[in-house]
Amino acid sequence: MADSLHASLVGNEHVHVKKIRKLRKLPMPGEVLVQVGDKVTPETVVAKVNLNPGIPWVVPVARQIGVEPHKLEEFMMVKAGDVVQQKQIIARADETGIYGRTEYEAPISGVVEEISCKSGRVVIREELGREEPPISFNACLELRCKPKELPQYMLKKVGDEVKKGQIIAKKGQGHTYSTNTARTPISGIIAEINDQTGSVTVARPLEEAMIKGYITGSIVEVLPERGCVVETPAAIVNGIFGVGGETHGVLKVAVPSHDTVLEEHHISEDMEGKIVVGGAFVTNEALSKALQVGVKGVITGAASYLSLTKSLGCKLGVGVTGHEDIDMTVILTEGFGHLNMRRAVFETFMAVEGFHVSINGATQIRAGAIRPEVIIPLPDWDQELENEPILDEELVIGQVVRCINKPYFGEIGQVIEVPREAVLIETECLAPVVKVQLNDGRQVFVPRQNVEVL
Amino acid sequence: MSEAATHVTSILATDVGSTTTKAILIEKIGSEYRLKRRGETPTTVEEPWENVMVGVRKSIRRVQQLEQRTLLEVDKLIRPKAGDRGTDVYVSTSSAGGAMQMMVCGLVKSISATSAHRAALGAGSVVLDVIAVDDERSDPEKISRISQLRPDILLMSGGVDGGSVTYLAAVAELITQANPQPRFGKTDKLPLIYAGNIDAQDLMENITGETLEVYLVDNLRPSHDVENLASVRDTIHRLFMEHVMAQAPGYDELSDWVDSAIMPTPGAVGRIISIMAENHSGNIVAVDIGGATTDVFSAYDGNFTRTVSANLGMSYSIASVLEEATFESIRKWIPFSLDEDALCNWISNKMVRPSTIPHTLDSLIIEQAIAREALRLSFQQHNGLGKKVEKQKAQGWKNETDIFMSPSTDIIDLMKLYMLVGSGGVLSHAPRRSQAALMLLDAFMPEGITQLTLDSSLMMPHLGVLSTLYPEIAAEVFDKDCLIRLGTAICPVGRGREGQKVMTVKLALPDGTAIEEEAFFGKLKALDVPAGMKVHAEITPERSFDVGAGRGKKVESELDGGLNGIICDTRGRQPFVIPENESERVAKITEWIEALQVYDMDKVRHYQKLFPIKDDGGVGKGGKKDGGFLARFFGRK
Repeated sequence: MADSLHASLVGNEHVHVKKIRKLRKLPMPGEVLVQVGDKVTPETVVAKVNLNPGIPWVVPVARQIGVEPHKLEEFMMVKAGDVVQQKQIIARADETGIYGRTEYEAPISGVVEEISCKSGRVVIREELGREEPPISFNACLELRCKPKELPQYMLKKVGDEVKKGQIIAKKGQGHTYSTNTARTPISGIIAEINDQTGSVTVARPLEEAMIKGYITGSIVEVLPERGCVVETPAAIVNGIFGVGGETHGVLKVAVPSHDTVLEEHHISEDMEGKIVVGGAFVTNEALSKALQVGVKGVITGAASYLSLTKSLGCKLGVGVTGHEDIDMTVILTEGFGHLNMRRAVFETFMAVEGFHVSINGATQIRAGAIRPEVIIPLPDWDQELENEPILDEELVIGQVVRCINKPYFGEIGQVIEVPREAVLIETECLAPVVKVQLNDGRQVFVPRQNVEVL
Repeated sequence: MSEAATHVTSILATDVGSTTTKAILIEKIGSEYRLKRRGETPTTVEEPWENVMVGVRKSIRRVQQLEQRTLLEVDKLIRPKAGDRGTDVYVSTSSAGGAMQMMVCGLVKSISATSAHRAALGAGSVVLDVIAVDDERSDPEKISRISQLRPDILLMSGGVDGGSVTYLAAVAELITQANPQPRFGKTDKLPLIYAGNIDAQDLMENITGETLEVYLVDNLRPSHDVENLASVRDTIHRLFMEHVMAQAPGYDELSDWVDSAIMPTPGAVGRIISIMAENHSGNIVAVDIGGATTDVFSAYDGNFTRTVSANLGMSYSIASVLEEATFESIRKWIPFSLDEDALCNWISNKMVRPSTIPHTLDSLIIEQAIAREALRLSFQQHNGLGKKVEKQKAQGWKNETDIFMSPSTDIIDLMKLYMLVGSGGVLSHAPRRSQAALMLLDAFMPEGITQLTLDSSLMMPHLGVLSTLYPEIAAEVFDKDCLIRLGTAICPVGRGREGQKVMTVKLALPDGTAIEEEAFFGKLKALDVPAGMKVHAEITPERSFDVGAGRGKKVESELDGGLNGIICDTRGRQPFVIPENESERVAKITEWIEALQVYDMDKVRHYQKLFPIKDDGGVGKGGKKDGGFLARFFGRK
């Protein structure tokens, strides 16, 4: 299958295959599961972290034992890097400090990370054992309430991170003398609140952070403890705006032409898990249907700003898109409003229909921007790869350009004249222009800023 | 003029903006220095170029093409000027880096977020996200967020002085884990401003010092009820000034080209405004509206204040203008009916293709409507923040909003404003100067008598940087070619009824002719007094109106003419009202446009036919159209 698909692309003028590299990096040091040369798929887990790093406890030891901060090190009985147990004495002073003590016990088991002689504080990072089982304790006993009343007194909910000794439930708010509280015996994450037995389960955080391959390809570089670089020959199409993050699936072109609006009836049940390509515009109903069917991504020429903000609940503005809490990635190739997808781009999608593609809607509107991408990995491509074309800095006669603003938005033509003097346009503005012969034969003046070279 | 300056016969200057790069050529003609040519091209910080120098060279080539003179040879500037080739001096400003995007890390989300937002406001940065101990994300999620957002700057706050440092250390470690990298990879480390509990300063340095460049400043919240924004804001502002220039690809090559250090655009404009304020005795407000940011400068009673509104601009930040101003406020300035969908699509297209310019009149009208709101909001921010707000006592810790409401007198008294200076693409490139005048009037709502001026060819940044080398040349070109007088606006303050007489204006022209004009409420009228002419004016407001001397009191003054003459703006101030009813609103806006000949009326009517008013059935609240007062009770229409 793959071979015949590949073969169909050879010589296709709309498919330009380049070498693509993608950095896959963990948010924190962890374990890299691949080696240079390994083949990966979008679902291959390339690196993961098994454990939260633990919560640091910063304790004002110098103040507690009544010594000058800069002398703290002299009185410390442990040094940075040491493992300490709870209640272990970690500092001892010669004289009684302000709190009447000469010794300081570690409040928690963990690793001494730092002893600051400037502030007189010691940082102990609590070690969270990965193998330890979750601990359940009866919160109702401490609260003196019935099990079924427990949920109403909880201050924390399932999934919340709690620190040892933290109050997690409280009864009798505002009544100082009749308040009962329940504290968690260990640090971790609340796994269960049981209103039948009255117990609260705190699990050790075992949350996994993992990074997948995102594209099909091979590993060309491994960043120790951090991740890797995946490389593959691929065709790539950049969009202009997108929402939703990385996803992948089989590409399915749902409309017959580049100027067809993607409507509800184009979306069928068998598109579940696929990346659907539309033409000119996508209706609100089509977007809802796609979400309902379980389409993983929609690529279309244009959409309405309000559909994206209101139907999908995305907020546009500064910053990066791509982290919206939606199950579907949407990529626009042209812009907003009713715009046809460029014919060449549509032809590319037609050519690669049935291929497994990886898409990412992340967009950053600013200088040095991130634009959404559709990557069609072709790992077995044995033809010559294309290099990045060298672009002319100036507009010259003969170039094929596309108008990117009203009234010719989306139309393609050829530059036939680059007048030296500025020309008066409809707004009465004198603007540097180019004369473009549009594909329908019309010859029009377009401000130079309103064309892009194809 | 200094001796060194007299040898200079040709100066080339560029300003690399976030959206456009502007080049100007100043030449010595006879004994005076004048602007010879200017060229403008889109800034090339984005793909496929990702190098500001491409845009710089293109803009210089544009000047070269217009002037028919060689300035560049194989992509290198020819210097010094030899015969008809090359130039003697080259200077540049830059704001290509655009607004700074800041990420805030703190302890309590609501407190850190609100304080940080206030600190960021006006200092040139926008808050992308707030990471706090109490937000609902897990640590890996927070770490990923920091790495993915690619902020330009991190602000960390939290804790009162003397309080616990435990969680601050935890947050600092999250940041270290994320190891955020600078966006363009030019600088070594990403800046982190630490404005939390001062006891944790060395701890912070220890934890994050290796991965980030730590700036320690005073605590944003030294105690629960005190907020201290000044030092954080100053640091953000300082970093912004460095950032707007250095953070753009190709900056190194540009710094090799220039004869004096590249200045940040807001710095250069600020410099020329403060020089101008010294030369004029009156109060000045200047605005420079760009693609990513809008900078407002004010020189009031000897105090110079500058704010940079990072989320208000006409290209990259245009969607934020929509978000902050709302659709309704933008729509109210448009003389035809426009639905929300169309406006939002227009705005988002401009956002994704920042360098495009309006080609059709309806696009221009929409752009100028948005500009009015961007200008209004940035002036509002300037006005609110110009006055020092630090060390204000909040009414209580639950009442965060009280900080905004706490007594702080605005530094700007519009009645005492002498001159309003406009700059920036949307104002300076407005095809008719009356468009710029009306935009300034609508956005700033000046009161009393105010002179309206415009940076005609977007030269203020260039001249600001040139003034560091040759102040005399800069001053000469500024006077002769840069600033143009749009006119003087007389705007009486007061409420009135439509058609009610507001004031009588008597003008005595130098040639002895006298003009006497009565102005009526709700109108806009221009009296023809050409630029360069000074007239003696006697303005007598009616009893309930004030033009500077008090209600009903006559004012006599020398007024400057301008391209739009003397504008009597009797549309009302405090409040200024636009009818809510759609057809009344369109009629009123059209009337004002016609009065100042802002647009070609035939074309406006064409678009009015194209976008007809939908029957809104009298949307106005109450009123006789709805059946009057009783209708509220009986629902009668």
